[in-house]
Amino acid sequence: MDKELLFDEILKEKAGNEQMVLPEDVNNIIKETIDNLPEKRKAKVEVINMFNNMCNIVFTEKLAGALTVTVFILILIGIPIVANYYTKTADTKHQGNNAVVENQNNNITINKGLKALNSPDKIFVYYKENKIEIDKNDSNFAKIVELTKERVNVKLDEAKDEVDDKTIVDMHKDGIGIEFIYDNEQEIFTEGQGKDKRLKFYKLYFQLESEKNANSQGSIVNCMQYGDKEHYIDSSRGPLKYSEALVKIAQDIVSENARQWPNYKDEFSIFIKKTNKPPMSTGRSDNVENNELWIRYSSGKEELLVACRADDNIEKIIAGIHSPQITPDRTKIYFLSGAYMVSDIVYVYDLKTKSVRYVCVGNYLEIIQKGQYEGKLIVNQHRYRSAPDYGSYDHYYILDEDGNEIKDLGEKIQNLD
Amino acid sequence: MEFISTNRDVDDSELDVRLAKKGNKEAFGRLIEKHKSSMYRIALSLMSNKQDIEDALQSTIVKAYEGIIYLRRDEYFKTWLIRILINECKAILKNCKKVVPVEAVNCGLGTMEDYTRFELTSAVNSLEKDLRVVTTLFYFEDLSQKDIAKLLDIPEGTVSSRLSRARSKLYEMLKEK
Repeated sequence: MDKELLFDEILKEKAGNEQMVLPEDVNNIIKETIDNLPEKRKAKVEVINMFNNMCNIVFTEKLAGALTVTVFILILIGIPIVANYYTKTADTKHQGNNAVVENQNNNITINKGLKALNSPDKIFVYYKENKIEIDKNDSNFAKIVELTKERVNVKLDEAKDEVDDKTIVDMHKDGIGIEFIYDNEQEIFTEGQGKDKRLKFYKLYFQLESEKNANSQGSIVNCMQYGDKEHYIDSSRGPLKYSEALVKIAQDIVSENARQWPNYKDEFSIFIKKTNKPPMSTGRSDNVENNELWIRYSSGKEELLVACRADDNIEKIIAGIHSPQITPDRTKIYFLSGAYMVSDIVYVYDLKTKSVRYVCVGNYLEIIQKGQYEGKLIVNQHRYRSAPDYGSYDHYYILDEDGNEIKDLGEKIQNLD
Repeated sequence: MEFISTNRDVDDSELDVRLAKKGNKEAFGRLIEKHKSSMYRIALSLMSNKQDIEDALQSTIVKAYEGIIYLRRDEYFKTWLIRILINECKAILKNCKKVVPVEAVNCGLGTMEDYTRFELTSAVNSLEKDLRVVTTLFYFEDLSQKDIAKLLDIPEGTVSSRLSRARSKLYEMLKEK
């Protein structure tokens, strides 16, 4: 039995490594089929979704069968009171579903039972006083709306806090936030304080991250601000649910746009991440760590820069990454990688071209941050004497960006002024 | 920076399922894109005629798009999609048999790509048809025997015995490599 399980495990791992690449023509057929799919009629979709959600609630509450039949018979014979009661009870018990009825009256959209904000006309992402508008055709637009709807709690209440436009401007400086703008007034019903309440608004502001409050529970990251056409007027009393997926989307949007901002500062840090990948073989050992070099931007976004790689040519192997350092102009990252028995290799990663390049061999690495040799490297190299002395020695050298020797510092680094 | 999470993470796929249910064609496209390799592999385990496979994939995509609003549990999208695909493959194979004898029309003639570089894929493709699909669903799609039984509409015991037969054959084929 154990052998079978082991064999299954081995085959499943093997299967995971055999990623099938589809033939070009099959790929094209799939693409064409998707492109030619008709647009759906929205009304029909909404009605069926509502039906499904109601079914989900019923099944979740273990009242399948009899209740479903009863409820739908009652709806069919037109007893709206029963239907409304059903919707309200179910939504309170099961906040994860959209039990929503929408009416259009004089351009005011009414959402009963909350949970369903209408899709806004505009979405802005704010970060450090910068503002990014999300295009309605951008797939992130729909994702932000969907994830935000999930955050809204049915027990949301108004806070009557002192909220004005300055509060929102301060929030813009304090981390990532998202703003929904509506052309028409929106009205939502909530169940705050045990009573049905209405919140009317033209705009909503959601602070997703707060440096000031360290994203603590109960702080501004757990509530939304709302306003009329001109100004922000109040804050909701939360809690809004935290959505990691939403924060990640916003972080990605900020990272993609940040470089174009005039006040953008390349704030980032680098770090080495351990992985579960098998150890690597180098000239020094068969057990060198298979790790990765990552960057973390101030927006919180993390990105893989360099992963270890095997190669027949020892000068192309990257394994056991260590000692990463950023150049003074913050455009490149130098690091050491395991290679030969007596020496590591210095590599450089260019943040602009996103490429990694061999520099030289070396066992110690330091980038000179200021002075005459700013940006140059101090590297310890293991070298060999030629005839007739022979033998080897280890000296520190100042090298240029490409690994060419500028100065021999001898056996001690202190020789550098 | 520490967050207190009050809801479970929503991965991109589930979000796309929800959007697709609301009629978002792009999201549906992303879902198919994500699962197309699995779909192709499963179709390949059931049929070997290239045209049939393409037909099955096409009608699965169209049926899934039309029917996604009826999908109750978003997290079961992949299983639901596979179910549609298997039904489509079965329907095509059934039609193929109805028209003329299989041998006469070469419904089973393969025009497949060369997958010999994939050790396990090649080994699975050389199994008998009834073992092939069960093995594909179990090893490549990581589905449980219970789910496979439901998908193929066969008893769980049959899935278990077919897997056992397949396992022995695969062991023999792969042990020397």
